Amino acid sequence: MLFINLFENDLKLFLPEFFLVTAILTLVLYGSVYSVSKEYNYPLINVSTCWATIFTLVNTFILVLFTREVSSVIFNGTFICDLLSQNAKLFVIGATIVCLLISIPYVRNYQVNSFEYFLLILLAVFGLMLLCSSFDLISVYLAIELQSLCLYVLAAFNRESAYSTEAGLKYFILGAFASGLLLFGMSIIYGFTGTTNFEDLHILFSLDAENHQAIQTGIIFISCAFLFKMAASPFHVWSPDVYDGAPLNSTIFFAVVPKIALIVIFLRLFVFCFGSQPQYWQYLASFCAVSSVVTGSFMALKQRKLKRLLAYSSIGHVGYILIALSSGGLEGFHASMIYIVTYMLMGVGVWSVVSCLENNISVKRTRTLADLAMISRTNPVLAFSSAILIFSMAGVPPLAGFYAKFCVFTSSINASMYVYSILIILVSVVSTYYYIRLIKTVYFEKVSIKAFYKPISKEISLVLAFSFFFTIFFFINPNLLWLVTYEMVLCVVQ
Amino acid sequence: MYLNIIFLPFLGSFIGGFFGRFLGPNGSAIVTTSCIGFSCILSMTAFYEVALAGCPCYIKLAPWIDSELFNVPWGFLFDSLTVVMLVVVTFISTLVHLYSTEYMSHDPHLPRFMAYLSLFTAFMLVLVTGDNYMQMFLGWEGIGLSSYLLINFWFTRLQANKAAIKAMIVNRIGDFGLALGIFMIYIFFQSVEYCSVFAMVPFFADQKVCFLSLNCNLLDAIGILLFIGAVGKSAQLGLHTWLPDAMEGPTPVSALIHAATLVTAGVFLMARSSPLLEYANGALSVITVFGGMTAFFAATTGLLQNDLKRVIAYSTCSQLGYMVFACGVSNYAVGVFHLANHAFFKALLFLSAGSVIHGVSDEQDMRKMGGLRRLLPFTYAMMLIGSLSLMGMPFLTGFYSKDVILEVAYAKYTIPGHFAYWLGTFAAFFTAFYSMRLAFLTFLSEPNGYRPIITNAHDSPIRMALPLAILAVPSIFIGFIARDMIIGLGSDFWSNAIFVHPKNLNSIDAEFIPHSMKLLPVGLSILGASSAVIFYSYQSQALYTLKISELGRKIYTFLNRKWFFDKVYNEYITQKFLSFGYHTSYKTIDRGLIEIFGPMGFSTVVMKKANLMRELQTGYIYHYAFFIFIGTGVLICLSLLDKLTLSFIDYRILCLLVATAFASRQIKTSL
Repeated sequence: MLFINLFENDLKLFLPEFFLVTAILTLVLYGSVYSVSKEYNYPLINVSTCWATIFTLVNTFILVLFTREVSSVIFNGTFICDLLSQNAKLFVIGATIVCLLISIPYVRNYQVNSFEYFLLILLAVFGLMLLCSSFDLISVYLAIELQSLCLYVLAAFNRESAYSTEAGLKYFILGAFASGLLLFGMSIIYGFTGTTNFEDLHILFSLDAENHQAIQTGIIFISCAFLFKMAASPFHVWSPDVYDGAPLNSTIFFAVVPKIALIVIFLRLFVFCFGSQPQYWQYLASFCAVSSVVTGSFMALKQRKLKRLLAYSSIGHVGYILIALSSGGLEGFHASMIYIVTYMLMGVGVWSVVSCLENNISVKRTRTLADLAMISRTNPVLAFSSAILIFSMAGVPPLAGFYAKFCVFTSSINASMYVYSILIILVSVVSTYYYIRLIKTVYFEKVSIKAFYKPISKEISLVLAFSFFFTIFFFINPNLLWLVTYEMVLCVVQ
Repeated sequence: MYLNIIFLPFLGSFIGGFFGRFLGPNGSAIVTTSCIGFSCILSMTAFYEVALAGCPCYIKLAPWIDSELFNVPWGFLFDSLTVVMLVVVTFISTLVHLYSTEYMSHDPHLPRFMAYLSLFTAFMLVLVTGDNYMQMFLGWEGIGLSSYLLINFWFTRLQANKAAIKAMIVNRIGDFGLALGIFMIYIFFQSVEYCSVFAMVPFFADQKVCFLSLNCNLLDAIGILLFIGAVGKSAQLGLHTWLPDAMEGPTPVSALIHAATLVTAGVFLMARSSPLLEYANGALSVITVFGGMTAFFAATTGLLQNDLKRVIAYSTCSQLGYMVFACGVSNYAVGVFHLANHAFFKALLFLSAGSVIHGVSDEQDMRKMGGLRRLLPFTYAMMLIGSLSLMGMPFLTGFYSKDVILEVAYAKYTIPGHFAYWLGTFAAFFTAFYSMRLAFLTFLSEPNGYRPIITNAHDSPIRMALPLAILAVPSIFIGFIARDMIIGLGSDFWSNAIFVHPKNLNSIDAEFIPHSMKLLPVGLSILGASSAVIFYSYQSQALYTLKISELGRKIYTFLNRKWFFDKVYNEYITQKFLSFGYHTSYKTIDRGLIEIFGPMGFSTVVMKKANLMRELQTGYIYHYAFFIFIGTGVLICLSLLDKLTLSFIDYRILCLLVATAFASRQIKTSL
């Protein structure tokens, strides 16, 4: 190990992470000292911590933005700094900032008074950033555990609610199960290859090693764990319960942020390391893709609660991402990257609509579809933007969602996966049904009980407007996103 | 200046149409007419620059469709052919605008009418100036649309609605052919721009193509497809049925659209595609034969129509046949020359007819007119000039182009050429006959109308008379003046706009055909005209006996009912399509098969399956863990199936299984 390298290069390239950790520690100090100080009369510092968190994240974002490194392996082969990880980090941080912006009104209304909440989010972001640049099975595992532990706590954060604690518990136990699978898979791989480093694995597998059943089993276990974290069917069972039970701001975070990091590590492990043996994982991804789309479409039909419905919808979207991944070519990886980014950008819009509905002091209960019914009267702008966003989720041209779906299906059809593509297209017809039913509820449902909603807060309106305009005008010039995602996937495709 | 020619009518249409209610009828009339007027002046300047001074102008304005290999710019091409069309279109359009301000002055929707007229002109200009087939097609569809709007202008009239829909649908068939032609051009030439396509044509001269499982010459196929477009728009035999019905529109519309400009789009297309057609001898023969048949058919039908405008409409149809077979025998210049001449005298005829109709309280049946020559002397004079020019009386405008067409057709010395010559020559006889019949029934015979109508008959006011007077001048002189310039031997007027393959060049041969053949058309015209005069003046009793005799009645019915084209179309084609559309595609497939399997059946099944699947989500954590366990197990099992095993699993069987999964509950419940 060359220490000169460590200090000359590695620390420089890891500056954003160092900054983030330092900031987290500072915030811990700030919170623990200030919130219990008697002379300030035990102040409530949740909102100020929230803004401090956002500020930290913005700074980290800037640091990442200016740490442009085409590709260099650091910390003795543990992490990698390349365009894939850097761009993915940017998306993670940006999405987290947006999620925090959306949840500020919720924090005020529902009195999420603990400042630790935001520290946990920061730690989760830290874990995700590490995950994005992991280049070793060990660092992958550690990063995943770091972010998962934070997410378990976030899910169970509302201690008074039985749903929330139940969600946290379920998430934790099943997550532990998945971590076990992950470790098991990794140890198999290590046992049969003698290495955990991605570079070594890549070289080993491109030498066209004999088709080793055991390695394939290892890969299956690892991918099961990843699919669990991504909430792909048949490992999705936790997600509706957790999305539903967790407090809304945690749910938004779960739904929007972590997936991209998992896609990145999926690409890095399966495409970069095992890319020369695609038969190990391709069928698996396509099986789960079809299964996810079917589950997402059919189960969502019968949901009454908005959060559950969106949970199933996100399962469906994961299916589209997987079908693109499983096509096994540059085009497919690119399509999956476009899809996940588009999904994140649409997702924040849809979730901010839910957040608007949630900010109603008079009735504290979970939002059902019926709550959408009046918004076309009470807030036509909100109704219109939610309609557009939902149309985009359903994939109606010329909105952004259509474009992403189009890329996905083009890539899978180009890869001759006709049966899967046609099956998924047919099933997505079913999913269109419940999306359009939402719009029908927004515009055409008559309700006798009129609910009153507070005006949308400024932060939410900004996010909503951003998402809305992105969705509508994306098709005019998709080049920016196209190129950014393209340089991301180029990092793993040889 | 060049772009203003096109954009001024659009501007006029926009202002007149959208702000008509603020401008009022007079305001919008002034705006639209002056826009067109300026456009006309600019067109004449363009004519001077391009055609007379010989400097074509080519403007690439902006990209329109820019999609990898398929590039279509907004390009405007002003060559001799374009500027001839420009002058004809804008000149007649200006006069018709002026005429309409008076003719339609009592209509409450005058601004809308003027806007439509301008819109039509604008699209016509787009059609003629486009430098590629796409833009031409845009104009083509645009004039189709405005034609629909104008025929249907009095939209409360059932007949107008029917006529407009008929025009639209019949034209659709032609447009379909044209679109196919353009597609085929794109497939083989990878471009739709005139310059690229025409430059590449000789290389495809022997290219074969399999079209509709017929093995044919590529250029023949393209030529015939383009010609189908022309058949629709230029009312050639087969798709001509819309033109006479289109006379339901206001008369200025008939004059502008259904006589002078719109219907000539097909001829223009043929002339524009001359570099392509010149290598497609099969297509040229087809064009010649169709043109000749149309000329003859329409002339005979026009013989016994009783509606004033319909007679002129059939005469238009017949003249279009002449133009088309002129193109078919590779004399595009002559075809376009006849187009221009015809535009003047036919617009004159129609506007005069409008003046008559206006004068006799909107009566259109010639049998109820008569004796109007003393009441409407000016209109009578104009109508006579138009008619004489139309029948090709020597030294009037029509003579110079029509006779040349017949001569070059004869000089082709091919079967289609002679076919067209003989049909055209007989058509000339009939043309003369029905023109005189029209003049006789309307103006010369004893008054047959109702008394109040006759007593109130009046000649047109100045805004209607002025266009007539202006049009009379070119109707008399333009043929003589422009003849040497446009179709004279060795004239370089057309420069590169029209290409005639040296092998097909026969304008010199036309000078050496037998004198008898040269004189025959004129002789027959004079014979027809004089026989009409004699029969209607002195032998009307004989005509009547002929009409009520057994054979005469049959002939009369046959010709009066337009050779039963409409009847055949309605009973054997339209009815079948309608019943297919209602019984088969709507009732059986749409409301039957698709509805039962789709919205109703599928949604029920999906809902039931969704209910079943929801039961999987129990909420118990051990179930969930079990689920994950099973999932992992399935994936491992899948990995154990090697390629050999997988090959036994046919995806068709999988599809069957999925389908059965959906149907099983239904089958169970039905049991």
